[in-house]
Amino acid sequence: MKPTDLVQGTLDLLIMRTLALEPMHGWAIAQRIQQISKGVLQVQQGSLYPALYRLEEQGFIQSEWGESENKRKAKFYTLTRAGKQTLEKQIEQWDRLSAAVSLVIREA
Amino acid sequence: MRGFFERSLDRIRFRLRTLFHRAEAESELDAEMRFHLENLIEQKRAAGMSAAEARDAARREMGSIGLYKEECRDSLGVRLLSDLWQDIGYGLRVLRQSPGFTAVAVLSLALGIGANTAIFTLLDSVVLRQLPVKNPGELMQLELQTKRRPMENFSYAFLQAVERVPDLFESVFTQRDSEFTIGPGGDASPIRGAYVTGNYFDTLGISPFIGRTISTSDDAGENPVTVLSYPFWVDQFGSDRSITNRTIIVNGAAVRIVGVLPKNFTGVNVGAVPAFYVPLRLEPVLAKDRSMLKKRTSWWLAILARPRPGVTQARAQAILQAAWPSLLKEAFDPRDQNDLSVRKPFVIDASRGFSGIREDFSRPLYYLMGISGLVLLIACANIANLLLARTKARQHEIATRLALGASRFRVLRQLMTESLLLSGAGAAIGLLIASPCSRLLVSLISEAAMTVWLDVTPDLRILSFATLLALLTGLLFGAAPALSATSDSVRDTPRTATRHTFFGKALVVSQVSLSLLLLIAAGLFARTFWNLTHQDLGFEPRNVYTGHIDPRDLGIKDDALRRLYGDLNDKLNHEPGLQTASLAMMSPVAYCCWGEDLQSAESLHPEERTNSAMNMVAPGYFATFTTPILLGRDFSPDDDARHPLAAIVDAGLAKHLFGAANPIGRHISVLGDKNLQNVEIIGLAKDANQQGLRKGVEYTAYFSVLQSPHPEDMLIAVRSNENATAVQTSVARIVHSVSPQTPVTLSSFEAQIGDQSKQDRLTAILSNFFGLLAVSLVCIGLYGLMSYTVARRTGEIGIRMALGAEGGRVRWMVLREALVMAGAGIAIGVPCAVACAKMLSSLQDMLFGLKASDPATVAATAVLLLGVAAVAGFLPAHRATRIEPMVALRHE
Repeated sequence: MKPTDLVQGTLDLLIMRTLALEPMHGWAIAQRIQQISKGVLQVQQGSLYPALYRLEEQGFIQSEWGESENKRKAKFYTLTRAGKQTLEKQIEQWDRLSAAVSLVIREA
Repeated sequence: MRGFFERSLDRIRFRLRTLFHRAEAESELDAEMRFHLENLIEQKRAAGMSAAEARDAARREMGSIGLYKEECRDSLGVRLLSDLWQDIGYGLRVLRQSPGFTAVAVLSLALGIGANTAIFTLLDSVVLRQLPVKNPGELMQLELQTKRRPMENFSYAFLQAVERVPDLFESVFTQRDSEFTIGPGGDASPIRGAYVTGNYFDTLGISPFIGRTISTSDDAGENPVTVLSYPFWVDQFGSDRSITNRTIIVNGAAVRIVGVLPKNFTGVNVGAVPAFYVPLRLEPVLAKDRSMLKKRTSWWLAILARPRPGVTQARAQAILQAAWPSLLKEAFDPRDQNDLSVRKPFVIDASRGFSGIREDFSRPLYYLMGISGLVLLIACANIANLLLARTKARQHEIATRLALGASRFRVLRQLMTESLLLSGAGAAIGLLIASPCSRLLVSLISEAAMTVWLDVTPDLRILSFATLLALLTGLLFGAAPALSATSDSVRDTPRTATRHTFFGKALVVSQVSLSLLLLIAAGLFARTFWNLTHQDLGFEPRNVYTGHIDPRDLGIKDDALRRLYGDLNDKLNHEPGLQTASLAMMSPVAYCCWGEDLQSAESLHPEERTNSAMNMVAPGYFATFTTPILLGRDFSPDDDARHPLAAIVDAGLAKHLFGAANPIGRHISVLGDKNLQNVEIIGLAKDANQQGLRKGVEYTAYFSVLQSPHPEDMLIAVRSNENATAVQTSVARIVHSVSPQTPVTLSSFEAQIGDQSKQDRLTAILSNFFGLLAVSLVCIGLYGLMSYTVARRTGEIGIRMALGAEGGRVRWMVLREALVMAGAGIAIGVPCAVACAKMLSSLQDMLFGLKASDPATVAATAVLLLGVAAVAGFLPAHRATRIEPMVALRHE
């Protein structure tokens, strides 16, 4: 089965949600999203990094160079306070939207 | 709120980092991608692939790394810079597509910015710029408050007394410019040099270019040394580096050259450049009989000073005012002490040096700056109008861009880039024009006798000024059209068009008002200059040459000098090339005056003291200046020491003293002069201006030079049809025949009088030039707007004509619109002009013979502008009548 393409705009939400647990590097973020979604959501590298830079530019996440589990230099991303606030809002919106969409699909 | 603030800070930091550490950001991007790739390869290998297979698969999966990086870069804000390049490139292409518009816009901006920059350059060098010396901000100057204007000159005794005031100044110094003759002969034309105190160069921190400067020890006694200015050294000594210890003859005395000054030092008298400097204490040697150094009554030195550390201007003034009574006793003549005891010394800023031309020209320059600023505003309004019209043509393009998803801000930025490109190009050409223009202005300022020297090479200040103007004008004329082009109703064509015409009309109306102000000012200045140069002076200056002689330098005085003057006057009057000639103590219209109180027992008011201007003249004076003798006779060679004293009075004085009665044969006495008591009036002369062009005529009494017991220096005046060189040669020959060593240089009296109105001439010429510029800009603006209106109304006019409207009516309809706009502009402009005239009291001071709110000037200007509107509207109106109804309707 072809991995599901992400709905536009939801990647930011997924990244921030993932980072809400702990600081992570890009590779780990992609892996975590894939694992949790049981392989349904595959983050393309081509969209992951631009998204990370965009989020950093918007001030929702911060980056820092650190050491990865296998002792290599990696860039770790952390959710900022502003990011946490935005995340809460976006989750709320997402819930409303998905509930509404599924309602329409089932009932119509 | 805090979150927002922090976030903004983060964003700024992020932007800055990526902008300024681009290479670093790029390598971080590389490292991050590599890390990802390595993880991917490891994952593949763990799944059982070989090393090579894993790498290939991972590469495939990552796709084009270059592409990601491009996308990441987009998020990095590097975009802004590349967008700018793109905007500039696009803007240049757009401007190249309409070369007519671009040329008109750039040219009018170049003229406007160039003119402003030229005037600013002059204003900067005359009024604003600090001296190029050590810590100019510390320098102070002393002045004395008097009834009329503050007095800035003092005696040497006072300078020394100020030096002795404790805890005040670190050094007190002066520069006094004077004319010197160089070389052994007396024929050479005088050269401007300066006396300076010994501490002058040290205090100003000037180190010599060659040799040494004048030091305190040079000024301890009468040490004949001199240091040359750079230009004088180059011109006269061919940049000879072995110049030191050579001797030059200054006013007949040998003076040793000790050094040459650096190129950029021109002294503390702005506008005048002394050719050389000599110690102040050498003055008695060089000026001989005319020396002022030891006279307490000679007030000839500007006093400048650098204070001790910590002494502020206010503190220095307080100390000086406290010491004033004792300074007065110590340094002033007893006769002056009484008058001056109620005055106070003041300390003023001297960071910009002092300057004769600053006094004369700062006001005209500020006014011209304002006027040229107005011209630039009018030019901006024109370009704004042109841009508005263009917006309509580009509406389709802009709408497409907006529809394709460009943000309004993005399009705005593009349009503003175009405006700034225009103003930038205008400023660049303007700067090129400004440089020769400011040199031209300097030559306009220069007097015939003394060349004004000002440094007008464009420097960083001038560049910044022009850049600022470019930015401001670009924003000014670009903002409104850009905003209206991108406004939400951009697709709503008819409404936008109406709004454009309204805005365009408002622009033209304000142009008319601005140019009305400008033209009124130009008219006022032109009429002031006319009034000054066409007033009845009471004499005819044409073909008159005057020059100064002082045989007292050679030790000739009293009886001998009087005889010498008598001889000289005879010989001059018998010289075939000269029509008439005479001598006088005072030159008419000389701004220098000799006034005394007169009394006459035979007058209508015998007790009254009548203040009158005085002059001592030789026979032929009235003929030379062609001032008519109305009654009685001129002085004759017989009115000498052996005959009774004789006087000639002017009509005004005679009327005041004796009313309508014949003044001939009556007597007057000069109160302050025991030699001039009961002098018989032998003639009545027409009123003549003695004090200066702006001063008008005062009462004047003339006495005979040949009866003066102690004659002083003298003015030679000759009238001749021959050319200046011939006159100079014959007069010099005659002077040398009676007094071989006496130098004399004649100059045209007409030119000297012309010099008195030189600032008025400058203001009149330039303000009228700007007026002309403004009128042409308004003309272009009106014409453009009317053409646009006619084009827009083609359909409507076509229908009107199809329905039977005649050509004349259509023409009038269009013309009326132009006239209404001009009328509105005038209606707004006139009250503004009247208000300005009321508020600017300095404007009234600059005028002569008319009021700032002169109704004739205002009315003439209004009529002129209506005429301009009619001319500008005529062509579009005529074009409207040529519209073919059928074509117009189809066009719709």
